[in-house]
Amino acid sequence: MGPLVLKYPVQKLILLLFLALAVVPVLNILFHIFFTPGVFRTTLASFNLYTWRLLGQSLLLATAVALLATLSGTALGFFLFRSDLPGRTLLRTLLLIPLFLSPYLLAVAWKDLFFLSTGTTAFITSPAGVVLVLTTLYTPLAMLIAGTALAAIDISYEESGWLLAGRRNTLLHITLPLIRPALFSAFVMVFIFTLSEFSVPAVLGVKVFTTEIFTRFSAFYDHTTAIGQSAVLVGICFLLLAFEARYLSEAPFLSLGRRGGHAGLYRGRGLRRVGLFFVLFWLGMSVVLPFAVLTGQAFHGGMAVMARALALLLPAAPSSLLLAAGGGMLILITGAAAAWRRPGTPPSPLNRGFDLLLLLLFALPATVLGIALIHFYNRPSLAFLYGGPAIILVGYTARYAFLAARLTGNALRQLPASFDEAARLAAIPPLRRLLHIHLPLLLPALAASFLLGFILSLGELGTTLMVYPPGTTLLPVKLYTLMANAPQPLTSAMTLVVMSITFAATTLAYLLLSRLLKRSPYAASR
Amino acid sequence: MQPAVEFRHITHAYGSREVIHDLSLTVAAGSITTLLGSSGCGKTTLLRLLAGLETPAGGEVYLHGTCVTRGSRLLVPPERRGVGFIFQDLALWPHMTVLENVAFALRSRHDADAGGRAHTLLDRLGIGDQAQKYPHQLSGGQQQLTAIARALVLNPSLLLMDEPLANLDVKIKKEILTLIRSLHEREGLTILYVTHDHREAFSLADTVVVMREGRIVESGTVGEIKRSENEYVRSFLEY
Amino acid sequence: MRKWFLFFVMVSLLATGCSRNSNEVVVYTSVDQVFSEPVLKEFEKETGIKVNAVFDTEETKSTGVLNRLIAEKNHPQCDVFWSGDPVRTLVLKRKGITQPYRSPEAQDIPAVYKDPDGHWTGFSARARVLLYNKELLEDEAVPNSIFDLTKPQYRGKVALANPLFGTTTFHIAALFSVLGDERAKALLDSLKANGLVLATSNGDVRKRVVQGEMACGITDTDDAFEAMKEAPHVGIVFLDQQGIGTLIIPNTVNLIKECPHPDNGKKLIDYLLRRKTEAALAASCAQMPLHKGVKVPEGIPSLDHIVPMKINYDSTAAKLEEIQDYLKAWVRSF
Repeated sequence: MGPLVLKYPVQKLILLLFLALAVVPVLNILFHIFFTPGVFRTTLASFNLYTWRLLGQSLLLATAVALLATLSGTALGFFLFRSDLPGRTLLRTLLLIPLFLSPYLLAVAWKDLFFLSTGTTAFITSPAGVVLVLTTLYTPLAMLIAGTALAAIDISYEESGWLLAGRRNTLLHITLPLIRPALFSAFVMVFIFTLSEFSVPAVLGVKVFTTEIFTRFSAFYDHTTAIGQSAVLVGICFLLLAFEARYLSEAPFLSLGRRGGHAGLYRGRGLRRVGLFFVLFWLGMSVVLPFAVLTGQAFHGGMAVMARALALLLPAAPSSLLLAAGGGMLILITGAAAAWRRPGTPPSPLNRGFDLLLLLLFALPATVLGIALIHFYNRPSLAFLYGGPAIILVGYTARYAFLAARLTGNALRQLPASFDEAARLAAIPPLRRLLHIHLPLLLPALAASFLLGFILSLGELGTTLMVYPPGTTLLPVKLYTLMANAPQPLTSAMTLVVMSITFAATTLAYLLLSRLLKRSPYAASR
Repeated sequence: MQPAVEFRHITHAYGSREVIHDLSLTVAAGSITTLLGSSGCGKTTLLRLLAGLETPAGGEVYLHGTCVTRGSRLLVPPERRGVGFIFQDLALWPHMTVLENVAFALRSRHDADAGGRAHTLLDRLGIGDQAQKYPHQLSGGQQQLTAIARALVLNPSLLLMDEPLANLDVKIKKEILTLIRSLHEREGLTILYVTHDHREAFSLADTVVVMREGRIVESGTVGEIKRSENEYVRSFLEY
Repeated sequence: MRKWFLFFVMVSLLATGCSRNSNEVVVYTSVDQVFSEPVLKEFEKETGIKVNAVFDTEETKSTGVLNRLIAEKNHPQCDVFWSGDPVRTLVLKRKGITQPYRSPEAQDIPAVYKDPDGHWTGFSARARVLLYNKELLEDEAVPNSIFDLTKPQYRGKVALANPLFGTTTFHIAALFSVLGDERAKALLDSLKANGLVLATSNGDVRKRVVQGEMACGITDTDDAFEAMKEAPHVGIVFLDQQGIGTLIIPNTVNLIKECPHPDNGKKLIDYLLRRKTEAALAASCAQMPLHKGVKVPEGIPSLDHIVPMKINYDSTAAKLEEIQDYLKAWVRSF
């Protein structure tokens, strides 16, 4: 066995580096803030009745969005992963489009849509409107989580149910309870995303806790209280996760592979009809409508506007794509290192510790992360990091490694322990076991981590804006600073351009990765 | 003759639940011994302790006279114990072909003729024509043979089998049991075989050890166990 | 091993890829990139000094540059802060982040648009105007004073951006300076009682008026001119020309204390304060020059013809701080 450090030294090195580069800056500022005399009191004092009400409103919104997104995501997941709906692979891909859109843009499109169609924005600028927009935004995430869990169910459990109790009862009493961990996981993820989402309520003019924190930052430049209040937000996410950890073991989570692709399909014409109706309705609402608004506005200005948008944004594309690819890679490596343990075993204390640390970084408002990074890195000895793109990569990794760790952790858990044990008994050295046994089997999860990290990095704005080196041009920053006073057609055209770049790059990456995955028949067979 | 395996006063617990209570057992070299008992009686755990995949709370494990595990200390790591292990789920690596599964251990030792030797072994077991297939493309019996080939490829002196035939039909089961016997006779392998099926146990073993709730109830030759007066053994044999 | 190696290579590549050129200047700006970038490019061309810019926008309220400047206080990275309004500038001065610099180019800019201590200098200005939709308001119904907006005929028809942010904050603070607290509060209360609608930003005000959701709204001249280009059915009014006057909001520029390239920073400030820059900004975004006699395109208003609100920018900023809690409560009550 040997001392702990000697086991998986590469993992320890990566984690140590990540601790030093990303975790220390955040802890540094949190400690700094909370050990400055009087800060605790001012933070506490900032919690008056009004602030509590905002926090309550935020929690209520997050609960509503998480519930609705989990429900509709599960239904979509069922129809698209477990029924014989025609064209389900294509529909599945199309439904993921909202994940490529920045929440801000989606909110603007919805607001325009409501105004153009009903002549008033009263509904969309209410809490119900926020719920609507965020639900359409996060349902694809819930669909992926629930869908992959549904597809991974051992068919024999359901077959035995069908024989005894019929399909309907099986679905309700066997299938759904089996994927309960996944449903809970989807709920928690959407809840955290919604709770820390700022731009949608801001655009729609609904006051929530994040907009309050934001006001502290940008109207009062009161970093201390803003960071103190952010800590409350993070605390709530921690509580939720502690709850999750206590009542449910790690849930099946996103996976790119077609593991369990042979799970039985529910068939029947009635089911197909209902399914098609529901899926098309959802596709229309979450993708076609906002997309139509954007396209309509963009082409209202003619092709010249489109050309201008391209000319403005294309120069920023290469550096953004490169950085996002680097971000995806680092997110993958950090996440994998944080979740790594002997396959088939439950998370070790190290894994659990990092899960919490990564959650802290994930749930922390992006601006706070940016400020923490500045405070830590902006000193002469670290200028080589702060002045260059490295700092952006640290930001990306800190924000999103949590998701990669979750994905890898789940994949590790699904690998039978005996795969590794058989190799150990055959006297195969650890590195060879890693490269020839574990890595190929984890490839689908690792590829998914990379893609997710890549997409999110490409759209990251909050932290990037705080730390990007002067003189650099990056897509999201450029889009936001340009659209401020640009006329509506140009703004919409630029949005479409950014979307297309993201979509094209992701599709390309996906195709490359799929070829890699296809080389192992395992992915196709299971 | 020195025993192949010796367990001395083994206790083992999962959390606060003790699953093996002060158990001692000797397995003669060159024998086939079956551990017989209902599920959860601790027989699989014994195999894992012997392979070094787990360590006990107390007691010692000897392999060919050498102490390999003392309490929770692993004196000899699993890879240096020279045991072959066939897992209940077989644990065939799904992304490798049959040949790759078998040859992997040899290749890891830079054996220049890894492929050739693996192929010879597969031929001997009668599945040479399946070498390029993936595990999921095989029948249950063929998967079983692949797992046996993989376990034998490093010429172990001791083969541990954990209910490997549980899901096979009777005919294939018989064939494989015959094969195991012939392997045993030809190579002088010591085999420790875990099962809950007394027919399997009796058709294979020289010595049968009956376990219940982490203790040995009775051990002896097949004939002795069949004639046992012990109530638990008798009730177990009735099915 | 491979992973670790890759990571190491990447980090070192990125770290070395950013070795700094010494003949450069770092500017942070909250002026929209479409307008500020061409000016900075022109400076680069003329002087050969490389400009490294960090752009931001008040519109999306991304809180970027100002919070960044505050966070970087102990080891400044930025030489020049070019702000679209005086509010942020004054926050920086108060926090001790700026240093005085009196540019020779600013000599004939009126003293009211300059900091007595030299920490900031104003140039090209916007004004606060009323933007209205001609299809919803007849000519004679167009208000010409901010007090008109409390009349019943405008009930529920007027939009104002959230006054906790940007130029709107400064507008309210200016009203408090000019009218005194009592009258200003009374005005705000009656506006609210008359169904004033709070928009998320000045851009949002413009959009609502152009789309016809609101009949009129208070916004900045640059937004208003953009709106008139986009939609012929909107018009603007400079309010209170017979009374308290129209609020003028200059761009401001400051030199950052202990900045890495002070000499180049001063050169950039000099460049920004030149007549040429004011002329360029007048053409690109309808900003009114503060130098006398700069040539402007037709249709762009000139300070020669507008009655400005008479305020002291420094004390208005102090006022702003004083009324912040009141404003916050006022916003909450919506």
